This record gives sequence, C-alpha cells and structure tokens, in this order.
Amino acid sequence: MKILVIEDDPTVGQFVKRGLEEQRWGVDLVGDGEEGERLASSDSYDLVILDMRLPGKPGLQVLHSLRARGIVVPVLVLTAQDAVDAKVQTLRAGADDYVTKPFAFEELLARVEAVSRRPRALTTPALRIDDLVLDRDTHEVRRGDAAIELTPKEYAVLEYLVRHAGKVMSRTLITEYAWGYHFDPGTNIVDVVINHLRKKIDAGHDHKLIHTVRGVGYVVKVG
Amino acid sequence: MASIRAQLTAAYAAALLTTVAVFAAISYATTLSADRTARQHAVEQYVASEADLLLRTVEQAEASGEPLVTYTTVIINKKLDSIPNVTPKLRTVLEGVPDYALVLDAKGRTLYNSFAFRQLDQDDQVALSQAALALRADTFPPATVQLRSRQLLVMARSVPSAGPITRVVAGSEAKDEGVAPIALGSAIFIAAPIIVLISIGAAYVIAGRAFRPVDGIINEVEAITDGRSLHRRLALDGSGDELTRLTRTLNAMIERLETSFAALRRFTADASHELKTPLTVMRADVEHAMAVPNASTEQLEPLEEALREVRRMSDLVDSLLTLARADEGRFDLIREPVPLEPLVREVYETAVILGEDAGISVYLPVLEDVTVSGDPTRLRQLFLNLVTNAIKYTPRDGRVDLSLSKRLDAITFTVRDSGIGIAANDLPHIFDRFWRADRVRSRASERGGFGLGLAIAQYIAHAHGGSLTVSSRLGRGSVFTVTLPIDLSNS
Repeated sequence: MKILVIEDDPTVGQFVKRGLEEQRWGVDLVGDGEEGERLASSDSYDLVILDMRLPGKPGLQVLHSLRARGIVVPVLVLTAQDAVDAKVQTLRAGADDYVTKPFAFEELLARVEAVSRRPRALTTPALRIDDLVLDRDTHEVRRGDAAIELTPKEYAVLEYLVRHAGKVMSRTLITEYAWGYHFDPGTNIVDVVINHLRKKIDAGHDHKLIHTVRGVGYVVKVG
Repeated sequence: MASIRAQLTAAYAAALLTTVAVFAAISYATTLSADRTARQHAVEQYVASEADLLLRTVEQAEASGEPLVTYTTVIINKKLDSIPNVTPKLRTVLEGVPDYALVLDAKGRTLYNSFAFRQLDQDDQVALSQAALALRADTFPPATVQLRSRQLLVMARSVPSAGPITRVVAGSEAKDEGVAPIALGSAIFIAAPIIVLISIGAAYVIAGRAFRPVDGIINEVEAITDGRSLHRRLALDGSGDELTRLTRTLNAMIERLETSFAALRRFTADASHELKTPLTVMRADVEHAMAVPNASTEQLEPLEEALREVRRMSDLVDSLLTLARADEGRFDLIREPVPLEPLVREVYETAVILGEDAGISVYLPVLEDVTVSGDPTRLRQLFLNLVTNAIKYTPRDGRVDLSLSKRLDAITFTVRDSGIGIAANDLPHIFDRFWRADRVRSRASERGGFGLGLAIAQYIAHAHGGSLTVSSRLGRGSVFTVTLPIDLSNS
C-alpha cells in the first residue's frame, strides 16, 4: 500500500511517515497543500493522510477540490479541532475519517487500516507468541491446551502487549489503549490487570511471557 | 410578577371604577338634594290645601245651619263631664280629608281627629295635639313638628265664624329622607358595572395589542440568542415609535454579541491548534524515541514520564476547550444509540480493578439493557469519572455500589460510596471548575487531577439533556446520580 502524508509540521510528518513505514507501507511526505493536491491527484496512492492547516492551500480546500474532480482516493484527515461541527464539516467535504490531534500512533494506525479497507485483523486473526494464542475475532485465549478466561480489560491489555511482543509498552500507552482518552485513574491500574494476567497466563509455567520494565511498563517476550 | 399587560389593565380598571363611583355618588347626591327641596315644597303646598279643604268643609257645614257638635256625657275620675264631638254627619264629611286632620273648639278640645292621627301612639297624639294648639294660625309655610316617630308639616287655620269650631289643623309627613331617585339609582347600579366590565375587557385587549410587538421581540431575541443564530437580526417596522428604537438597540447589542462570540470561537479554534500541535509534536517525539529497539530502562523511564505528562496536558486542553464551548452554549456531541449495559459493565470492571488495588468492594446488581441516544466516548468518560472519584475518596474496606435503573422516560446511573463524604458547605461547589476541597481527601500516594473532572462530568450530563446530582454526608459517603433521558422514538 502506498500512502501520501500531507503535513507541514516536520516532526509530526516524520513520526507518521516512520510509523507507517514500519508497517512496510510506502510513504511520501509533503508539507504544502498545493503540492499535496497535485500528488494526491496522480492516482499513485492508496490512501491520503491530510492535515487541515497547511501552507499553500488549506486542507479543507484540498479535500474539496479533490472530491470535486472525482478523485476517490480514501482520505484520512488530521485535525486539531475536535468540535463536532468541524468534524462533520470534514466528513461532508468527503473525508473518510478523521483523527484528532494529539493522537497516539496506535489510533492513527487503526484508522488507516479501517479506511484503507485492508484491516490486518482479517489477514492474521490470531496472535501468537510461544504457546500463547489470542483469537482476535472471538477473544479466546489459550496457552498450550488450556483455555484461559479473561475479562474484557485483561484481554485488551494482553492483546496490546502481544501485538507488540518484544517491545516495551509504557503504562500510559497501555492505559490509553484499553480505556481510551479522558481516563486518568491517578493510580497504576495497569499493574493490577497485569497481576491478573500473570496469575492466569504465567502461573505454573517455567518460561514467563510477561515481564516488568520498572518505571516504564511491560513487555511480552519469550525468555 | 404579573405581566405589564395585567398591571396596566388593573390600573386602568381601578381608575375607571373610582371615576364612575365618584361621578355616580355626586350625581346621585345632587339629584337627591334637588328632589328633596322640590318635595318639601310640594308637601307644604299640599298641607296648605288640606288645611283650606278642612276650613271650607267646616264653613259649608256651618252654612247649612245644622248643629256641628254633639256632646257625650261621660264619667271621668268620678266626675260627670260632657265631651264635645263633631256630629256623625260632619265626621263623615271630614273623613274625606286625607292625612292628619284635627278640628278644635275654642277651649282647645279636640272635636275630631283623622284616621292617620288615630294611628299615632299615645305620646305622639298628645304631642301633635299640643303643637296644633300652639301653632300660629294661617301662616305659610307650614310649621315643622317633630314627633317621636316621624316629622310632620302642620298648618292651622282659624275658623272666622262664631261657631263652636274655632280651629282646624292639617298635617302631612315631611318625609325628610325624600324619595330615592330610583331611576337614576338603577341606571347607575346596573349600567356602571357593565360599563366598567366592558371597559376593562377593552383595556385588556388593547394592552395585549400594544404589547404584541414586544412579545414578538422577546420571542425573536430568544431565538436569536440561543448561540447559533446570532447572524440574524430583529425585523424593523419603521414606524419610529419606542418599539422601533428598542429593536434598533437590541440589534446593535446582538451585533456586538455576534462579534465577541465570533472572536471567542476564533480563539477557541486557534487555541485548539496552538496548544494541540505542540502536544502532537511532543507526543510524536516521545513515542518515536520509545520505539527505539533495545532501549534501556534508564532511557525509557523519563520518556514514559514525559508521555504521561503530555497525556495529562492533552486531557487538560481538551477539558478546557470543551468547557469553553459549553459556555458558548455549544454541546459538541456525537449522537448515536448507546446500549448502556455493556458500557456500565465495562465501567464496573474498571471499578473492580481500581477497588482491588484500594481494598474496596464494588457491587453491581443485575442490569437490564437500556439504550440512550448519546456520545459513547463522553458517557464512558462521565461514568469512569464518577467511579474513579468514588474509589479515590473511599477508605480501605469500604464499598462502592453501582446501579443502573430505567424509569418511564429516563435512566439513572448511581454511584454510591461509603467514603469520607462531602461537607454540606462544600456540596454546592463540587461541580465548579478547579474547585478542590480544602482538606486531605485522597490518598497521599495519588496525584490529583486538575479539579475539572466533575465540571466535565456535569457538562456531559447536561449536553445529553440529563443531569448529574450529588447527595452526601460527611463521614457517611456520597451518592452521585446521573439521569439521562431515554430517546423514546428510538426504543
């Protein structure tokens, strides 16, 4: 899949570009509205990620003129405006979805997958590490032959860690993934869930899968 | 407070009633007084003519040459006496004269008294007889004689011939009170209320007419100032009266409002961008730095710290902008059917996890599924905020009860805790922005929020057309109740 990112802020642009490239997608980054529109019209991209505030030509106008010229490439809008009317305006202008700044890359990725209509979940429904298997459709979890009953939050945390197996995931990111934004429990709720997961998944096994990284978060890895 | 229309009508009615009453009283009194004078005069004439009639009757009887007086012998106080009386024939004639009539002889004895005289009681008979004797004869106008029971106009005539009858006296009631002007009275008492009622009705209608444009202006202003229609203006009728001036003034005011609202909106939008873009950049940097393979814990720890702070800042910016928009009267919500059962279950699970850490039991009875129309993200935020608070302010071994119940047209979600409670004088402030109770409420190990949680929670409830209320007793716990209307058209 080839993705065009039209974003004038170099840090955000590079961040998005690198993140998407890690998913083995081809990414082009431009920082100007006019230039972005020209490239988006070239029919060489599967998806356009479009920032709303751009030099040259505002994002909304780019969107309007793309759609007016019958260009149907999926467009994911990045906006700092989270007012519903602003969102409605972008959707009416022909955007397929929007992500509100500031966003977690995980969220952007999920939207990209949804909008590009190539959800990874369909191609690889099962997540696997060592003898632990997570069925992403049914939320069934097995370790070896044993089925493991997890609550929804336990599943969410485990799935997030297994999906990023081998990487240290911070408590903040885990909390954000499992509970969404606007949730600040003021306590390390993730630690409690991890305790549950350890009892259910690692207890009685010689090689533990869940590892603590003190002061940061957790990592799921073999050994 | 009554409307100006009602006040005007009442004032008008009071003025009209007073005017009519005063006018009626004056005209009635004037008529009565004039009538009394005329009546007095008529009675005087009448009494004089009666006296004349008596005199003529006696003179005619004398002219016939027949005796006029008979004597009856009676015994009074064991003494023989003879009492003079008019003859039956003369009596018959005299009875033809109406009202009070007396016929006296030279010794002052009564030879005849009329029927009216005989109807008087003893004292009045004596008094009238004495007055009849004392009167100067043949003087006009008749004299007034005050009896105990009534007032009479009395006139005496002397009989010039040398017969036994020397004096006749006629009298008639003076009727001091006069005759009430009935026609005028009934005219006043029937017509006046009708006139007053009709006038009040007319005044009410006219006042209503006069205020209809004001009502129109009020409705229009309400419609315009709902926060979304400030570009509209009131219609001018061009008549140049007070209302047109009022309309112009209001239009000028709405224009200023529009300008400042536009400025505020621009600021909100700019602030969104100016604050959120750097946060996005920071976040991107931090996330990217964390994604470096084989990063050490020493490298990751400050990054996680930074990420947490960026997230807190993002949350704060979001809350402030949400509340700023709420102040403008804009409730930015997605509206979709939200089944509450799974949402409350999720919140319950979170509460159980938090409670486990804090040594607090959390309970949730069996739920029935209800669906409201709303913004699922915001409703989750609202519910999570309430349970997080409840856990935070409940000591170890306490309990927190959640419940979701459905009533006819609304659902209620309650969070009851056995926590430290809220002092009565703090209760009115807990939904205020940045307000935090001036005491050690939360456990020392936890870092508090910005004091916006409950303000946002209440905003979310209001934005859904619902409410968030609290009742609490210090030391006994608190109950937070969310009420949300059920969209009946959806269910």
